[in-house]
Amino acid sequence: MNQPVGQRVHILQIPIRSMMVVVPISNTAEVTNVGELVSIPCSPAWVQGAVAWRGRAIPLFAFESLLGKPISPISSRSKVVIFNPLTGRKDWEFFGMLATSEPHPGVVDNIEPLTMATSEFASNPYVAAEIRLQAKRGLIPNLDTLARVFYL
Amino acid sequence: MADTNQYLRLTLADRNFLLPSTASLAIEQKESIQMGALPRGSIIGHRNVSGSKWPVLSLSSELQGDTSAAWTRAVFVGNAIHAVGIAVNEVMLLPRQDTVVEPFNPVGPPPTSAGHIFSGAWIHEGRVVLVLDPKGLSGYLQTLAEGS
Repeated sequence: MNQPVGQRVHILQIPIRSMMVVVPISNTAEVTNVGELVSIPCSPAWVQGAVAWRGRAIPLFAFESLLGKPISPISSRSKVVIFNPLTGRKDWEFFGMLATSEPHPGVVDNIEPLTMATSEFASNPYVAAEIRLQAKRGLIPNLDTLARVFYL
Repeated sequence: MADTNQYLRLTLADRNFLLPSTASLAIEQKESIQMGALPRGSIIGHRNVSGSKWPVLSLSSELQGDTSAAWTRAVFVGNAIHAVGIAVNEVMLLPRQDTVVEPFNPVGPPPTSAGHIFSGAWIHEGRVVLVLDPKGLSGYLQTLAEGS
């Protein structure tokens, strides 16, 4: 997730409500339809449940909940972005994030982090950086912090 | 690696969970459970075993206390000294060859220091069926029982 400034990066733009989450496409495994979501009892509110994917159960989390925003309702346009296991985790520990609509791949030549002091997420540990994408802003998740909250 | 142990399918309300069959200390019919006059927290009754009482908890499909849930049997987990029962509507031993369980690690903190309640999952007809972890489940039920 710590891409040097000036490097060409293939990204996936993941719409969540009015926000755009941006991740290197190499961190993702697949984008799928939501399918049947089952709850995981005794999980925190930011865990939305689990879906079946390639014969496994994949836990889904709501990034917007970790940002202090209401969880987006699931609709017919919703998609699941399956992420590859985080560094140091077992090779089957995929996880998913719900997108409110179809994510889009893209390429950025120069990642220019905005000054976080002006961001409403300046003090949020789950945001590594906020960047400008044409006319939009994109949030880059802090995967190190996510790993800590996922696997305490 | 796929787990080919044998599993019990437990039905709580309208939801199924699997439990490794080796984790079950005993399965008792509702008629053999000493019912309390009034539920105490999640505890709806107990089983007398050699002078000790094994509490039976009634839980919802989200594994929260729900003394109104219908049940026919109690499945006991833990050990003979600290056994706890969970009231279920149905118990079925699944054929070994039909149940392929893959490891599953919930994200987020576990509910008790005993660890997560689930440690595996079975994908059945495209749907996730969570597999209870004996140690995590026992710790969670003990915590609920002690809080009742």
